[in-house]
Amino acid sequence: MRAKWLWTGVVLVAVTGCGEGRAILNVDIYSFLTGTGGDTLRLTPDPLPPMPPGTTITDSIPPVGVNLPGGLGSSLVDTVRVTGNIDVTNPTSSGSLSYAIFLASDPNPAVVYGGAPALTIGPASFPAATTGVPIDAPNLAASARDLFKGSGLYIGVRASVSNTGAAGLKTTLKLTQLQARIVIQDKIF
Amino acid sequence: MRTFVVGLGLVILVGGAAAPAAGQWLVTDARRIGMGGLSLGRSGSVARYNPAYRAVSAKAEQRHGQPKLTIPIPLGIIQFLHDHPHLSSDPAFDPKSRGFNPILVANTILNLPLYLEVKKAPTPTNDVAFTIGKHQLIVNLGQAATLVPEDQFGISGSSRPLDPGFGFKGFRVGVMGWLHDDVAFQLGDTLLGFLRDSQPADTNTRYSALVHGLVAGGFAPTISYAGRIAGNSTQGFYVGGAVHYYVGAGYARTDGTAGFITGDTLFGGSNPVTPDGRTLTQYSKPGNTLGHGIGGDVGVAWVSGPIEIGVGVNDIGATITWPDTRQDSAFYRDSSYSRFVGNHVETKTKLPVSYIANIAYTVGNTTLGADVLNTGRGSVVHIGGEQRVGLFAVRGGLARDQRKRIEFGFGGGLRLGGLGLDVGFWTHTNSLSNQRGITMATSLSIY
Repeated sequence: MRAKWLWTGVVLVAVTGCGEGRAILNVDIYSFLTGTGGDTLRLTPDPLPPMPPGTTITDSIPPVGVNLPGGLGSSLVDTVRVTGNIDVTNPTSSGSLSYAIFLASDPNPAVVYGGAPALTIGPASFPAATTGVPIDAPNLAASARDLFKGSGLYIGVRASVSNTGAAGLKTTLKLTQLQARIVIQDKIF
Repeated sequence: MRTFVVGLGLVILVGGAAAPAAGQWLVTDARRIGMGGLSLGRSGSVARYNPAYRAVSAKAEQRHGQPKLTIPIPLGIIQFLHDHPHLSSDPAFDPKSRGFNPILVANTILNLPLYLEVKKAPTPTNDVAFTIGKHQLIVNLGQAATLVPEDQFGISGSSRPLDPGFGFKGFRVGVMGWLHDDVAFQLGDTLLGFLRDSQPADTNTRYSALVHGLVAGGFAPTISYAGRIAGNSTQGFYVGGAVHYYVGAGYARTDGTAGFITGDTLFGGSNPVTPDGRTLTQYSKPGNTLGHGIGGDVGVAWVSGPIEIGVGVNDIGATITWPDTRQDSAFYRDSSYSRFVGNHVETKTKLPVSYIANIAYTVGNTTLGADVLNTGRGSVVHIGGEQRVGLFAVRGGLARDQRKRIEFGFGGGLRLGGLGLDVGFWTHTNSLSNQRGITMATSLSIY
């Protein structure tokens, strides 16, 4: 994609001008999710009634595309650290949350959700009140890291909520931050 | 994409290399390198830019320890071939290979591997950070941001490759070849702010740079005079001048802007930026009506015992009129468009005025000197000296290049009768480091 060269040109300036050094990409993945509905999961989905105590429900979002600069085919991705936050909003009962983020180079949901998740959060307990659950994956697996060398990837989110309280549970899982810090060795050529 | 990446890298590389290429690095005389690039008497740049020096006798020049002939010994080529043992099949140098690296090729051409690298300058480490979002792109180049030029940068040269002729009593008639090239870039405010000041990229914004390129060449019938108008061979005042009738064989120039325009979304759509270029191209091909113009050189030199001072100015008033120029405008957005503007149009180009000022002081076996040379894109200053002790010579000097960086030269020589071996060392720095590397030049001198 020709348009992704703006930053890549700048990487080259740095590489040619500065010798050994690293390129660090701070990608605001959340900015690609917000507005698409991919940042929010309503559990149980409306208009279904709240989930009874002792039950579990799992749901996922349609994969969302994340555009990246690309052109880093010969580069070495050292580290991809993913940080963020999920708000468990207005739960009507206490519960437990498991949250998985999938990455793939193909938008097909079967492909995105067909492999192992790039990172998982939880199970994390939450009370019957709005709670934030942090995301912090120090480094993704090599296969997931390499996806950031391309000009785009697709992200999928799958969440499971278990009702550990006595009342019916209905809540909204809202991603409020999701960032990837990608550290690249300077092998542009 | 890679084309753009490589192109931008080349721009930076060429811009960065422009000053040393013009100021220092084409010197192959180890003796001169040992004195910080200093030109003495009729050597180096002095005779080229000061027509009065044609009258200064070579005998008088030998006071400075000047050899009649210098033959470079390019040890750096051995090192280069060692590093690239299979040059013909090296993918980095093969334009047809996917591994072709034009930056390495350009760097090799701009910094010819004539010298032996005896101490490499430490490579500084510099992280660069990019913040990327659907509607956001911020670049922080760290220290490298200082490399992004705020002002116009480029390469300019004016050379006289051939100058055959004959002379009589100080007068000389000849035909001089001339070649003028000029390449310049200047980043626009938005691109400068984005690269240098880490300003966020904006949507629907044009990021561009002014570009200018010119190459012109021809020949010039020349009448010149150089002579001593006062004094004798040990103490005299020399003047020189030349009038050139420039005949232009051909030229081409382009002026315009090149860059890109961002879309509604920086990283969201399939085509967030559009390359954008607009230029006016003008050329007069060989075979068209020849260009013409008149210009001149003047120079004076004063030799008084141990002291020698000279000033020379070249290509004064050298404006070339091209009566048969074709003009086309070119426009690029998604694909290129070219539109005819005019033919047989009269246009003008101007050769840059170059000047040199030099001073040398020789007493006994000691020579000290300094020179300032300006070829149209900033001044280069050299200060150096030589102490001869028996068969040996010790040299030292420093230079300030067009980027106002100070570099040092030092070296020595051994002279056996009419033959000498010289070694010169020259410091150089990376753009972001004050620590210097050292290269070594060697040459044979015939006295």
